[in-house]
Amino acid sequence: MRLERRALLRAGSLLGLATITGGRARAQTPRRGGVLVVAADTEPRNLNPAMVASNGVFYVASKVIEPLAEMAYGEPGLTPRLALAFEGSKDGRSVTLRLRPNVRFHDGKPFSSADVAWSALELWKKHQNLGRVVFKDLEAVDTPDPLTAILRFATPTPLQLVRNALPALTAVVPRHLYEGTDPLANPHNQKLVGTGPFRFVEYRPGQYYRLERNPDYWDAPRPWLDGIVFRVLPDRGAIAAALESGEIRLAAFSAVPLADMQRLAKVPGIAVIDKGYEGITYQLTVEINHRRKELADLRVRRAIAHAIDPNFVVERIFLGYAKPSTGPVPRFDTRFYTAEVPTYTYDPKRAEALLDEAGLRRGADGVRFTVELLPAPWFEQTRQMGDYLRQALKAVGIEAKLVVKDPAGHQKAVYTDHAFDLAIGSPVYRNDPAISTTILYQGGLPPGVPFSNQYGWADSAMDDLIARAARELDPTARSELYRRFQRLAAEHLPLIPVVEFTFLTVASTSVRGVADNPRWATSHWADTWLEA
Amino acid sequence: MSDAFARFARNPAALLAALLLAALALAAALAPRLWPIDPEAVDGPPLLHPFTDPAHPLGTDRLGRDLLARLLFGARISLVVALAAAFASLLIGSAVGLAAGLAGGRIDDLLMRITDAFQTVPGFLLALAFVSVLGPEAESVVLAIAASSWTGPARIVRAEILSLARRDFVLAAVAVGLPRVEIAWRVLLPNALPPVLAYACASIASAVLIESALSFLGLADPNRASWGAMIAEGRAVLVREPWLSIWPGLALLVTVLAVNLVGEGLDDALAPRRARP
Repeated sequence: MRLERRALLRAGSLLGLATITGGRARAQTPRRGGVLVVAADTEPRNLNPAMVASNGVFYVASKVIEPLAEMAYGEPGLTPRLALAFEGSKDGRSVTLRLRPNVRFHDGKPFSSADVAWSALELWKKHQNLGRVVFKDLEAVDTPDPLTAILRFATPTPLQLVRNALPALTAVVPRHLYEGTDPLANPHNQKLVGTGPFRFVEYRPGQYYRLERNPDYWDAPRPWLDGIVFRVLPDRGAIAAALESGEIRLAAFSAVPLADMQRLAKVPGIAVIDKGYEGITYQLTVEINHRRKELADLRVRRAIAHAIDPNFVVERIFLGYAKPSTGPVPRFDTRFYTAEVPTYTYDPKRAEALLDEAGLRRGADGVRFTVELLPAPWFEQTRQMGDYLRQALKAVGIEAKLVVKDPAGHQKAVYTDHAFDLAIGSPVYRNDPAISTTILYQGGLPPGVPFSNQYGWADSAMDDLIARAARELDPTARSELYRRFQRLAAEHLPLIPVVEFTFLTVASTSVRGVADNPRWATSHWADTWLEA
Repeated sequence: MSDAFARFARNPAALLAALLLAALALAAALAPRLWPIDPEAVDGPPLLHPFTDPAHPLGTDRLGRDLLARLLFGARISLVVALAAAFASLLIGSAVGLAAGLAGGRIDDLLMRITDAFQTVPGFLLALAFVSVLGPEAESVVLAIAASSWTGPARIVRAEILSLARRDFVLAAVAVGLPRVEIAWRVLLPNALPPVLAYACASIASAVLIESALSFLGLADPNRASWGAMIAEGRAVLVREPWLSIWPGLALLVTVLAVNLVGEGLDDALAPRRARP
């Protein structure tokens, strides 16, 4: 498959500009220069995107270390970065990557297929949270010449999956700085060296990350910016103030409280942009512990689904910036999404009838049974959903006791100790159901795997379907299998997807080239520039 | 004692504060009858402005929960937790102070070093540590606040005991041959208590504040409305809808001020000879 080089990106960037300028004349040529100061709210300990595929890491690191390809709006959905083209064999056992020539790492050493091979085998496959799933059968990477890398798989692996994994899972680090060291303890996990449009200069804990322009970038004259500074601002109120005072020019990932967005959108010179996150769509889910006998009953799970009003969640908790979910795949991914699944409309009466039918009648105090509800503490919305679900369940006679823990404690309670009855989760859908979605439904996973099926639910038909889709080489057949997966998931309801949501970027209108790809905040920013 | 009461009644600020507290306590106790709306129930439009809808006189929060109901139920938690914590700290402190003052010598040294150890850790940090280990239930918040504030009463009681022990009436009691326990219980403690009571009142105020600070930080029971948590929730919309934080903030201000004024009035009433700085 040959990737169209720039044309698609251009189209995407015009789209992005149109939303940010709101109809202003847009035929401007990018301007070189200026340092973009943006807000950051987390400081990951390991900043190496080849090892930690998380949005907090990508936000900073994707400007320094590049993947093989990036997502793009429209067809074919990818733009080349370090790989120019790729091609799969008929038997699904190998993928040949043609790499970009004349690319240098920031330390001056040339980039070659050896770096891809090493990153793939030693980091993506062994250490990376997502790569451990997608590249588990990667056996070897052949490097017949410096610009060709051939991924060899032990079992047939769909090209579609590898392709969909390119943007988030394939960051390439220099082999010469990692080989022979313990990758987990390598100092370059903090002091990043890559091929990207920006070089890593400095990290001051609690203060900032500073990147400067890479003058030797392969896509000259890009990048347009002289540098990027990520100011660490953990307080959300402070971020809104810093934007208004012009101290920072951009805050991504809805770092400003949603309730403040409507006010900020009216401030002259500030734009609220709701594009650029489709490729990292989150869902708000009700996670269910099937070890609890009441919850193992399908009628009870359906009753819970009927007790929840998704429109309330969209309007009150997300202030309209979300959509009701029908299943584990978000609407944006039209390749896999299907709306033809069993749905559970908001209907408390039906919920009560189902609970009665399950033999769980209201006691003298009006309570049918009591559960412990653990809302994930990381988003304001997951916490608010906890408050709402407690009320929604109370209305149908289920008493929920809220238990709020710190992030590490929550993760341990739900995914290792299984010490919960219901939980509010926020899984990410990453461009392909096999990357981080089917793991929520697959049975038999060992305890301790975060954001996976630790619900005590296993269904052989579901496991079989997931396994077949993981081997299916034909994209059409594979999509059909995932549509069946969605139907099965909605039927059995092992967990309840309530709404899907993406984030918002708030930026000064002087920042251009924003949101020009579906995972913009976690991409390279080589096309971003500042108006004079 | 009637003298003390008369002196207290002559202090208008203290009297007013006492009435206010009594009203607050009553309102909190009768909350379910006075304002029978479930504070957790979503039963109005979100972010309703105060004084616009008689059904929700103080407005609603982001999910549409009634702020007056939440404020009243928050008062229950605040007052109950603060009173229980102040009482517990008074109990622990008096026991330790009494034991140290009476026993003297090594036991006194040991008890005072333990007191020192507790005092060197900032009270709020200690409370934080307690709650994060024990969990956010009301009981553990009480325990946490008591653990961080019993040292004051302990030192005061001990000092009072030491100064009383050389007074003539105590020596007389010893000469008469009263058992030590009886001297401690019937002679020393009643005379040592007045300053401790005044101090306890002030510690109720600080207990209210610690409880709110803990719930502001999200370390209180999430199943119950509390003032600190309400302020924290309101913070997200502070610029646009400030009343979400203003109501619980006002409630906190009035309560703490009233408790302090009552405490001061008590102090004046119980120990009139002492010069005020």
